[in-house]
Amino acid sequence: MSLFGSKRPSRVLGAALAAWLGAVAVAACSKGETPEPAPLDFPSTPASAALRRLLARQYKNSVGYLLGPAAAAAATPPEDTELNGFASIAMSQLSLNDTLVARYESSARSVAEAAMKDSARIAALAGCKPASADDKACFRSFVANFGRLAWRRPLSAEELDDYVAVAAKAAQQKNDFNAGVQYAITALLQSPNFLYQVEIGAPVPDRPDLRRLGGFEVATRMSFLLLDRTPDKELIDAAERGELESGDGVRAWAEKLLAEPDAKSAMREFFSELFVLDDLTTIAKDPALFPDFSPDLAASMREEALRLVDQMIAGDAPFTSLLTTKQTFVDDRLAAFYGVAKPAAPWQAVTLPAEQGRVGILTTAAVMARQAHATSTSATRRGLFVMERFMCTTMPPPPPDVVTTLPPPSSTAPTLRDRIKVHQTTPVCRSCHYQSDNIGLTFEHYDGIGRYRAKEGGATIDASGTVAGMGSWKDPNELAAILSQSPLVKSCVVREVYRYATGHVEVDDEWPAINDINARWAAGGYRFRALLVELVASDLFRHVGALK
Amino acid sequence: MSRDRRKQPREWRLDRRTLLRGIAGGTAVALALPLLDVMMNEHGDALADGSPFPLRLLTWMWGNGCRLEHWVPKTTGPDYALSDELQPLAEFKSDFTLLSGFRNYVAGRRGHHDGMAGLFSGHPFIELDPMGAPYASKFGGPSIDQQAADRIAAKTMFKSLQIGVTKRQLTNQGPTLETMSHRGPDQPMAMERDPQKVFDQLFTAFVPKDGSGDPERPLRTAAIDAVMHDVQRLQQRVSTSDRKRLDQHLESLFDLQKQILAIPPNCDLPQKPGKLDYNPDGSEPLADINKVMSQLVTVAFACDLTRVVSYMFTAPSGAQQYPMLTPAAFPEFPGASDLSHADQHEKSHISLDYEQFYIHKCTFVNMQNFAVTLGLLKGTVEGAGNLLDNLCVLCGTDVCEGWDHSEDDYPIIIAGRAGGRLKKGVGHYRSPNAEGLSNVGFAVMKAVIPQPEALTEYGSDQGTYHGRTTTPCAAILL
Repeated sequence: MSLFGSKRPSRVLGAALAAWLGAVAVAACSKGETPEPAPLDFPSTPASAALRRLLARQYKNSVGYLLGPAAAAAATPPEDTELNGFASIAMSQLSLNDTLVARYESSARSVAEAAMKDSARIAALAGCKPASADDKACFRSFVANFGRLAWRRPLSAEELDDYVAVAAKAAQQKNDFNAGVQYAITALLQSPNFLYQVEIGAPVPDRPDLRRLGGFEVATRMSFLLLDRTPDKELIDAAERGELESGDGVRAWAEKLLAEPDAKSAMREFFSELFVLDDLTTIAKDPALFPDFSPDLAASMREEALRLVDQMIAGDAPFTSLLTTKQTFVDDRLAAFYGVAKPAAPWQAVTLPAEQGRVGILTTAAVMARQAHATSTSATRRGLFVMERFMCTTMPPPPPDVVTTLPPPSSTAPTLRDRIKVHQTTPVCRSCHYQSDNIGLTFEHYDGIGRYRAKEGGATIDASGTVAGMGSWKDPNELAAILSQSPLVKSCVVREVYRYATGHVEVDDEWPAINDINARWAAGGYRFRALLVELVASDLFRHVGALK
Repeated sequence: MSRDRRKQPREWRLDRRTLLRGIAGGTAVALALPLLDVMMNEHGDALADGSPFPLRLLTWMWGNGCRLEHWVPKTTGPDYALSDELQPLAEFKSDFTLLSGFRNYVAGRRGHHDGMAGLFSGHPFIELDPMGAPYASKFGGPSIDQQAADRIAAKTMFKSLQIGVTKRQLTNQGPTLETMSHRGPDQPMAMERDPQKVFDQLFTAFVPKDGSGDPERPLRTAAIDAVMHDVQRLQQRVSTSDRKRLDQHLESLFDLQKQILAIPPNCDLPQKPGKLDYNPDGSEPLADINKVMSQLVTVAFACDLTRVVSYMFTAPSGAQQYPMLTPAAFPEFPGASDLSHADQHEKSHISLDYEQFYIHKCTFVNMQNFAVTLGLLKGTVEGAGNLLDNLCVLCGTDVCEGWDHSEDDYPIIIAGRAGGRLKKGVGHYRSPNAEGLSNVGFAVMKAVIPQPEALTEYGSDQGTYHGRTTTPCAAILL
C-alpha cells in the first residue's frame, strides 16, 4: 500500500481507481450531447446537508453587496477555522459558541450603524417614505426587501412580523424611523437565515434518500461558490421565476456568474486555500540563511501563484495547464529573485531561465517556500503537498516515540537525498515516506525559499524520482507531465472543488455522481471553468441526502 | 437544554456589584483596584457578608514541551533545588507545586494532539478522517476550563475568556491544536489574540454612569429575541445533528442576552493597550503582548468579570519564533548560528547539542513569561492576601519533549491556593507510579468548583485511550 500510504488504503485506492478507470470509459461515451439525466436515474445518494456558516470573507462580501463598502468595512465576523483542508468543511461541522455569537452581534451592530450613513441606499431598500417615526407598513416594506436579499429568499408573514416588531420598538423608543431600520438590519444580520447556508430541499418522489434543493437554495449554493458572496438580486429573481430548476437553467446562470469580477477573487480564494498560500506572508524563514525573504517578497510570491490561476481561468485553459505552463509572472521583487529583467509593467508575464527547470505551479517560489522548513527544504513536505493536494492521498503521522530528527549535513552526506536515506532504508519509515520523499526530492533545486540552486553543499543534485504506479521522471518537468496526464490528478481536483463547494468530504455514495462530473469535464478537455459549470449544473450539486 | 431557559431573561445584578460600588472612579489605572476593606469581614479573609472570595481557574500553556534534563529538579520535597528551566520562577517558589513523572494515558495516536486532550480535557480526542486532507482531530469532550466554567456558573459578565499571546499556530490540523478551550467536540472557542480586542471585549460593555442607563440594551435583546425565534423555527426543519448545533447557538444567544442585561461592576477601566502585532521582520513582540494580556486577565479576575481564563502563550507544536534568543543568549556556543528567527518546532527535531540547548532556552523564556503572569496575579491584593490565594493555575504544555513526542513525564505547574483547597509547601512532587494527567485535572476541578464533593469522576475513555479517573491527585489537593 506504499503507493498511496493512506490510513484507509482500500477506500481511497478503490475510489481513485474507480475514478481513473471510470473517467476513461465514461469520457468515451459522453461526447457530443450530454442529455440531462432524469432525477430518478440519479446514481448517487448525496450526504445530508448540514447548516454551513458563512466564511468570514463571504460574510463581508455579502454585507458589501447588500449595504455598500462602508458597511463591509465595519463588519467584524469571527475568523475562520479549517477542517479537512477547507474552512468550508469546518463551517458545516462546528457549532456556534458564546464568543462567536457575541462577535456576530457586535459586527451586526457596527454594520447597521455604518449602513445608515448611506441614506439613498436605505431609502431604495425601503421603497417607501415613512409617514411617521414608527410607520409599520414602511418597516414591513424594508424588512421584506432587505430580508429577501440578506436571507436569499422571501420572508414568511411570521418572520416579517418578528422583524417589524424589532424595528417598531426601536423607532418608538427613539422616536426615529431610521433607528427602527438600523435595528431591523442589526437583527436580520444575526439571524441563522443570514449566517448559515440553509439547504433543506424538498422530497423527491420515489427517492426517499434524496431531497431536491429549491431555486433559492441553488442560487445561494452557486453564488457562494462562484462569487464568494450572497446571490445578487438578479439571481434571486431568476430563482423566483424558476430558472434554476433544471440543470440547463443553472448552467446558463453559472456561465453568467463566472463572467462577473467577483468570480476572479472567489477562485483565487479557493486556490489560495488549496495550495496553502493563505499564511505565506507570516511564515518563518531563517534570516541568516535567507536574508532576502520578507513579508513583501512572500506577498509577491503568493500573487505570482494566483496570477497563474487567473490566467488559467481567464484563458479558459485546462486545469492541467497550471502544472505544465512555462510562463509565469513577475514584479520587480520577483524579477530580482528569479534573476530576470525588471518588468516594464508592475506585473509582467515572463519565461524563466531554462536552466532553472521551472514548470507550472509546483515550482513557483510560493509553493516551494511554503512547503519547506525555516532553515532548509523539505522533501517530505513537498511530496506530501503533491500527494494531498493533487492526488488526494496522504500518509499517516509518524508513530509515537519514533525520533523524527534527521542527521545534519556532512561531507559524507552533503545532500538532503543522502540524509533522508533512512526514510527509504528503514521499513517503518519507508512504508510512508516512499512516495512523498521520492516526489519531494525532485524539487531539491529550489531552496528553502524557492530560489534556484545548481548544487547543494557543493554536491550535484539528483532531481529524478520513481514511484511504482506513477512511473519515473528525471526532473520537475517530467513529473509535471506525468501528473498532468494522470486521471487521478483530474479526479482529485473534482473532489477538492466538491469538498469546497459543499462543505463536506465526499462520501462513498457520492462517487458515481462525482465520476459523472469528472466525465463531463473530461469531455470538455478539463477546462477548469467547465468543471465549475458542470459541477453546479449537476444533479449532485442540486440535491442533498434525506434529513437524518 | 430545557425550554424554560429560553424565556426572556430579566435584568439582573452581578453578585458583587454592591460590594464593588465603593471603588473610587475617575482615574484610569493600570491595574484594577482590589476590593476595599469595607467589603471584607474583619479578618480580611472573606467578603463582608461572610461568603468566601470567588474561586477561579487559569489554564496557562506553552507549546512543544521542554528539555526534561533541564526541567526536572534533581530533588523532591519542599526544599528542592530549582532546575535550570525553572529559575525564572524562583521568586514564586512557595506559590506553586511542581509535578513530575505524570503520564498521559490518553496518548498513543498523534503527538501534540494527545497532550492537548490529555492535559486540558481528560477526554481522548476524536480523530477526523483526513481523507486526503492533512491530519486533523477535535476534542473528545469539553476542555477543563469549560467544565469548570459550567460548574462555577458565576453571574460574571463572561463565563470564560480565551486569551492567545502568539499568532503563530497550526491551522490545518483541526480544532485540537487551534485552541485550549472547547465547549464540546464541535464547539472550539477561538483564542482572542489581539490585546485591543480583549480590552474592548472586557470593557466596552461598561457604562460609566450608574444604573440602567444604556438605552440600547432592551433594543439589542429584542433583536436577539427575533433571532431566537428564527433559530427555533429552523430547528424544526433540519437534521438531528443540526438541531443540536442550533441548540448550542440558542444557548449562546441566551447567554448573550444575559450579558447585555447584566449591570457591570463598577470597576475602573485600565488604559487601552496600544496596537501589538507582528514586527516588520515577521517576529512577534511576545513579551510585550504577554505582559499586556496578563494585565488584562488580572483585571478581569480582580473585577470579577470572569472566573475562568485559558491562556495560550505559545501554540501546541510550537511553530514559534523566539526573537530574543540571538547568539548573544548562547555564550556556551560561541560562533553559533542565529536561531532568533528559527521555527522552534523544527529545531526541536534536530538532534544536535546546540539545537537542543536552544529548545531548553525557549523553555526558559516560556517560564520568564509565566513569571510575569504570576507576578501580576500575586501583586494584586485581595482581602488579606492576593489573587493567587483564590486561584488555581494549571500550567503545562502539549508534549513532554518535542523531539520524540514523549508522553510519560509531563512538565506541570500548579500555582495558587484556590481558597485553601490546594496544599501549600509541597514543593516538587514526583509521581512514583506514573500517575495519570487526568488525576491532576480532576484535582484542579475539585479545587475551583462549588460542591467539589459532588464531582465523582473526570474525563472519559475511548477504546485503549484512557482519560477517565475517579482519583484526584492527592499530591496537590487538600
